[in-house]
Formats: sequence, structure tokens, C-alpha cells
Amino acid sequence: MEQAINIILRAMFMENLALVYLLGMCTYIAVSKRVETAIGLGAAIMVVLFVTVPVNQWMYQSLLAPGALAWAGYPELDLSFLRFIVFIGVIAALVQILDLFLERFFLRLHQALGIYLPLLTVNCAILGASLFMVQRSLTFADSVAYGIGVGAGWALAVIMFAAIRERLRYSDAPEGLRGLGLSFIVTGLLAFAVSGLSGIEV
Amino acid sequence: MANYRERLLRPLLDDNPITVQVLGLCSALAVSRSLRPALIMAISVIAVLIFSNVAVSLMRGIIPRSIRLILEVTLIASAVIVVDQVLQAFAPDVSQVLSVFVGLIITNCIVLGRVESFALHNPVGDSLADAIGNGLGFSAVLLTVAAIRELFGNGTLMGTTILPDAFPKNEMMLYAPSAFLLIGLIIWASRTWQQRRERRESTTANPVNLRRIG
Amino acid sequence: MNVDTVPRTLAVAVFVALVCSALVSSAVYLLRPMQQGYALVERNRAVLDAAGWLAEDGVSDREVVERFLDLEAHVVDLTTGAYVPELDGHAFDHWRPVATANSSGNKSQSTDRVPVYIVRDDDRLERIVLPVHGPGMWSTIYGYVALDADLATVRDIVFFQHGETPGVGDRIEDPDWRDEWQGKKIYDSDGSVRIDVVKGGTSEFEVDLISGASVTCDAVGSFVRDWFSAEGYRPFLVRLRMEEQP
Repeated sequence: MEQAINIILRAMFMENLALVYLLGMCTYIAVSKRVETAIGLGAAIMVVLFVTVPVNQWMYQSLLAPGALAWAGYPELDLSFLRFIVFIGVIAALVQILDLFLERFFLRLHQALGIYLPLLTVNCAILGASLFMVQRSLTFADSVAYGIGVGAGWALAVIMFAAIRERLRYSDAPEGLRGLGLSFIVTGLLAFAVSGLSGIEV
Repeated sequence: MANYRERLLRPLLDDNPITVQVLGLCSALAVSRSLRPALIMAISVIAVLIFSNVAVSLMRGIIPRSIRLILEVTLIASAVIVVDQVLQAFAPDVSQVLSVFVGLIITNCIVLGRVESFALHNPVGDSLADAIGNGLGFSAVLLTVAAIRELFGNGTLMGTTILPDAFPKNEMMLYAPSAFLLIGLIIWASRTWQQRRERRESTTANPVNLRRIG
Repeated sequence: MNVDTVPRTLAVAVFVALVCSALVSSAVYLLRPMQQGYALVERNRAVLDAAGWLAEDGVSDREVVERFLDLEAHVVDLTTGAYVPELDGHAFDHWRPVATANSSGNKSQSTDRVPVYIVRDDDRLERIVLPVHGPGMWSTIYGYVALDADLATVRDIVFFQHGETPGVGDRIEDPDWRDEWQGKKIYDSDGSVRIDVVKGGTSEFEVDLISGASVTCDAVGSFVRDWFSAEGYRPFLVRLRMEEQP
């Protein structure tokens, strides 16, 4: 249990995918104009990460890792180069399901997210989380905790950012800087701030 | 032919994938610390863009609606795996540096973005030009940021020292968030220039409007 | 042609799957020999570097392989600290493990058998090269630590492969940082692991970390400590010290 909390806290703050590793930026900047939508997006990402990281962990260990196919009689096969396609396949299937689900039960959120919901499939944060899971050789239990942690961390980052952006609308920035330019700069400052947490030991 | 030229050039400024379409940021930021990996990354992205745009455009008549997304992603992922393998075999030192980021080209929003919004509805020739144009637009911003960060963070460009030792190095440039700040400034500059150009064009093209205002 | 019918959808799906598999498989099949050959040469070059056998620049790949085969190499079983004589130390690659019947593959250090390389001067052990690896900021860092004849002092540390950020994390490869490690002691007189990477470290057990690359340097310090602990090389080094006493 303690190990799980450890992993979750690290994934949420010291190794926050959005603000430390700068993953998932496209969606992060584009869908954070209002806190409401940001919360919806954050929730969607949390669900996707919570399911994809453990599922990908299981697939990798059973099929792709070097020597994983020993149970089928092929212990010397190394199919790890296929992990990109397998992970993306799992993620794509899941996002498609989520898309249909939202369209049926949460239509307004579905419309607000627009093109960015299918783009969750190719959100660097989601693929990146699975790739980090492989690199750190997490166990199944650990990968569940990791999925929760990175999802929560990313959601936290996007909601914070949306809150700041809502207030920025009343600021008096130069015309060329308004909107997109200012978003980038604010995100840069947020990222710098979070990088200060990187030395903490949990 | 003029059509192709316009399609090639538009993404560079008016429709630049990064500044205007807010796409392709992830790998742009992570790889922009020095020029050489950024260059290899740019070439890889252009290669993947060309393959996916052309492949999807060729198939656009026969792609079933229900599996559209997965099909596109499979094509893109296959291209990225091939590019990754080629880099590992012919440029292993750079491949090592790029490591995770080559895989993340699959998730580079530009690639899927162009496929979904252009290649699906346009013929092969146009899609090819669109791919090259967007690739060049993406490369322009990525290489600019990388050059600035390497030059002021390290004093070098492509590994060769340019700035004298006495010139103070800006370590902030070596941290990833500085890429955000640089891109923010680039957007500001390009937007301001664009607005000035539009204002100039509208006054010369429509003298009638001026009279109505004045 | 209406493609949204089930049989047509299946046909398109199968077609794309076949084309993509053919593409990817051919690429992997054609390029793997080149990748493997290159990968092992670089690894062996790193081993030679740590062993002190790569004094000049521009050593050709073939020369690297020949010199590497001249090194004394053994495979060590970490749990017992003894050599595994039936495995060839030169060919053994623990960084590409083959699953045995009871390996779970879930531990972060999933290898119990590692190759070690010994440099001898006449018959006396002069230096030993030990592989180490662990997670860095972006991907796994692989390297070699060379110990002096006393099996406690560091002679060199060479990084073979990593995915750390260019210009920041990859400064662990700088000759300056390699020099930092020289002469540092891993163990104290009681045999406890004392080596560590800390900011401003100056004692004989501490290596100063590179400013701006703290995540990477901390990671290196952390896994080097792990590798020399009781779960790592210590049982082997204890046994080796006894065997090498005249």
C-alpha cells in the first residue's frame, strides 16, 4: 500500500507528465479555455490512463518483452519493437469506446471536447505513460498506481492552467501576445515552478 | 503548379502547424535542446508525414468509417517503427539521443491532424504537397528554437563552438520550459507581423472602406 | 463502392494489417544484423574503455572486438557470488535476457547473472570491470564501473548507453565527471556501501553532482549503490578478494 501511495505521489508531482516531462501539450493548451471543459478533459484522461497503463503492462509482459513468449515455446523471441503499435492499438480502441460513451451520456462534454477526444489517442502523455511503464519495468500492481498517479497529475495541471487562463482574459496583453502566445509563456512558468519540486524524496 | 506552391508555403507562416494550429508541441519541446537531434527529428517527422498523408490519400475511397481512426494510426505507427529501425541501423548515436522521442512521433499531433483534416479528403498530389509544407513549417519553428537554445545554453551549434568561452551561458535555456517561452515569443512576433501585413493589404485593396471610416 | 459493410470492412482491415506487417517485418529483418553488430561493438568498446585498454583515438571496430576477446571474462551468479563456468563471459549479454522457466520478468533488476571482465598484470588482478544499469530520467542508463585491485576504489566509470537529455543529462559522459569518480571508495573499512552522488560532495565516498542534471546524476548514484550492495556485487567481491589473496 505504501509503495502504491509512493508511486502515485511521485507521478503526480515530481514526475508530472504535463509540467515536468511536457507531454500531452497539444490538448493541454487547446482545451483549457474554461475550467469546466478542463475538468472534463482531465477526467477523460484519468480514465484512459487508469485502464491503458495496466492493460499495456500485461500485454507487454505476456507477449512482447524479450523472452515473454516462453509459454508458447519461443523463449528467444524479442518482439519489443512492436510495443508502439500494440500500445497505440489498445489506446485507440479504448478512446473509441469512450467517445461513443460520452456521445450517448454526456453530449455537451462530447461537443465541447470536439476533435480533441479522438486526438486523445495520440496524446503523447498517454503513450508516454505506457512507454515509461516499460522502461521502469513496473509490476501490474505498480502500473495501476502509476496510471492513477499520472492521470491525476495531468488533470491537476490542466485544471490549474484553465483557471489561470480564465483570469488572463481580463489582462491587458499586447495584441500579438494575447491568447496563444500568453498561454505558452504561462505554461513555461508553471513548468519552471514545478521543476522546483524535483529534488524532493518521498 | 501555383496551387502546389501555395500549399507548400502557406503552412510556413499563415498556417504554421505549431503557432497557429497548436500542433506538434510534445516532440518539439523535448528535442529542441540542441540542433543536431532536432534536425534528425525534423527529417523523421517529414518522412512520417509524407508516408501517412500519401498512404491515407491513396486509400481514402475505401476506408470504412468504423475503423478509420485505428487504420490511420496503424499506418502512422508502422512508418514510425520503420523510421526508428532505420535510425538505429544507420545513425545509432543520434537514435540513442532521440530514444523515446522517435516513438512519440506517432503521437505528434501534426501527423494525425493533417491526415484527418486533409489527406482523407484530397488527392495524392495535394496531400504530398501538404505533408511537405507542414513538415517544413514544423521544422522551421523546431530548428529555430533548437538553434537559440543550443547557442545560448551551450555556446555551440551542431556541436561546434560558436560563442567565445567568455560569453556567459544561459543555463535556463537548457531547461525544457524555456522552449515554451521561446515559442510564445515566436508566436507574438509572427502574429504581430501577420496583423501588420493584413492591415496593409486591406487598406490598399479596399480604398472604399477607408473612405467610409474617415 | 460502399465500404461500410462488415465483409468489406474486414477486408480493408486485413489488407492494411498485411501491408503494414510486411513493411515493419522486412525493415526489422533487414536491419537487425547491422544494429546488433553495431550495438555489441559499442558495448565492447565501453568495456575496453573502462578496462583502460582504449588509450588511443580512432580504434577500429575490428580492433575493438579483438582486444575485447583478449580480456578475461566470466559470468557471475549474483546470488552466490560464484562464477558460472558453463556460460561464455565474452558472448554473454545480460542486457538482452532470455527468460528461463521461473523468471517473472517483473523485478526492476531482473538479471541474476552478469558478465565481469578482469584485467591482469602478469598473474595479479590489476583491475575489474563491472556492468551497472538503472533508470535515468528518460530511459535506462547502462554503464561500466572499473575497480582497482583492492576491489573497493573506483578507477573509472564509463557510460555505454542512455537516453538522457542532450546538453544536460548526457553530461554524465563528460571526462570531467569521469575524473570525479576516480579514486572514490565504494565501501568503507566495514564493508558497507558508502559511495554516493551529492551536491558539493568532496569526501572520498562522495561524487559531486552536475548542476542542472540533478535527476540524471541522482539516478546514477542510486543504481551504482544498488549494484554494489548485498543484492548486487558484494557477495562476489567478497569471494573474489578471498580467492585473489596469495
